[in-house]
Amino acid sequence: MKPFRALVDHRLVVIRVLILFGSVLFTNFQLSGQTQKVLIPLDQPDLSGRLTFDNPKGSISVTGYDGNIIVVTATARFNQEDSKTQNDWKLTYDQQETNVILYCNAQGNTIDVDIKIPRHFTLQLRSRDNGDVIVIRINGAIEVDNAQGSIMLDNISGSAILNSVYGNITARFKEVNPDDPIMATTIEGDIELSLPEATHANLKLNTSRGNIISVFPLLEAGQESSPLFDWKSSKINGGGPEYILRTYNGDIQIKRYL
Amino acid sequence: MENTDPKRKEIEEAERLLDQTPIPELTESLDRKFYDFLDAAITTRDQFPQRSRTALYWYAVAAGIALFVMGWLGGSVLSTRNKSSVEITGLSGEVRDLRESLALTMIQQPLPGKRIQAINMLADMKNPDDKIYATLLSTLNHDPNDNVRLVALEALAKHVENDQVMAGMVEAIGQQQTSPVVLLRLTELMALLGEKRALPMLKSILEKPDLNYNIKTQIYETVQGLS
Repeated sequence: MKPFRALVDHRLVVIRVLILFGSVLFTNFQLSGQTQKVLIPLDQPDLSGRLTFDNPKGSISVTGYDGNIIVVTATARFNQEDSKTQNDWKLTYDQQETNVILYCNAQGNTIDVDIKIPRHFTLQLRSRDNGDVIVIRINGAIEVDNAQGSIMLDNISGSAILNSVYGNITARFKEVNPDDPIMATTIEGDIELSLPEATHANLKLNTSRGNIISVFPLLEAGQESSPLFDWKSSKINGGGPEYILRTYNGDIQIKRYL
Repeated sequence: MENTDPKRKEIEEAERLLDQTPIPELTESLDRKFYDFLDAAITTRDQFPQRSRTALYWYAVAAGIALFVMGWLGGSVLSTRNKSSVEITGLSGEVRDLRESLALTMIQQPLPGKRIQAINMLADMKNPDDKIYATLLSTLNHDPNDNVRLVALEALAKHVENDQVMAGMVEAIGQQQTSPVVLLRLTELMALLGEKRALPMLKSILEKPDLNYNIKTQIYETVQGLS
């Protein structure tokens, strides 16, 4: 057992070193103090990839483009000329084929991160503080968690699971995935969802203190059997996967994607 | 007397005529003609009954096939009538097991959308068992995505008459401090259900310093309402 485990450990170490080495080799750092740039080439750009990024502090902006390199530009928001930590923050990544995990070791700095990425990507994004999350022109499943700030999605083909507490959520879908649910929840913010005309979905909407406006006709609350559930609901084009929007203090708007 | 009988006279006349008629010579053509007639007669005799006999044979075969098919259909209809309830129960049980195991696999997927679909599959099942409740409760407490937790909570809220579910929901209040949306909805449900067992948990959460104002108000009102 022991030699075998040692062998595995040895291999793991080698793999880790290789990954680290690869990261350093393929990464084009432009250390200008306030801005860092990372280029992540994709061997198989045709395959749909997956990007995971958890930003401890700062905004995230992801834009899809027709290329095969992920271009990450990170900028420290505040000029901290006297700060010791100014240059200590660092952007790194792990890559396994088209599965990419981006790390920002912010050292307490607020870092705004801009990402240009091939369009067919699944995104898992989280900003823990002090920034908005914007996603534009992506084909894929998008998961965003941004408790403090707002979430803005535009020109999306696919689906999204979005969560905020203090922010607004706007999600504009050019096309929706016919099987996947869409969900957006917040407490303090408004929710705006734009859907293509041909969407098939079961809408379930609830706001405790706000108004609901929808271009698709809605059924009044109380249609469900239990008083525990006070959804306003609607079957768009005969129904489909559930689209759940819930806020506490905000308004909900359902629009057509134009 | 001899010459007076007209009938005799007629006969004699006929005999005379017959005698005068030349006897045709037996030629080859005549012979051939005779055999041709004979052959023709034989073939016609053979043909007609043969045709009707084969037709009859085929009618019999067709009738046999028709009977067989009708019997089969009738039999299968009757047998399904008899066995249907047993077989369908067995099949639906299998389908249910399949759906359940599929949902339990899907709930471990990295995509939150897939996990939500899995929860909806579990929630739609009739007569859910303890395993399903346990899975939903575990999702409510431990899923990394708040929206997935919220969907699990809504699924569980349809089974509040079950003690395991209700106790699990009360217990879950303590696990939602990092999921404000879920905590808010859970508090709302406790208020709607008048669940007094939730009081200690809610009171302890009220003492936390960095609580969202809306949640704090909701919890405070719920505590007032329940006590």
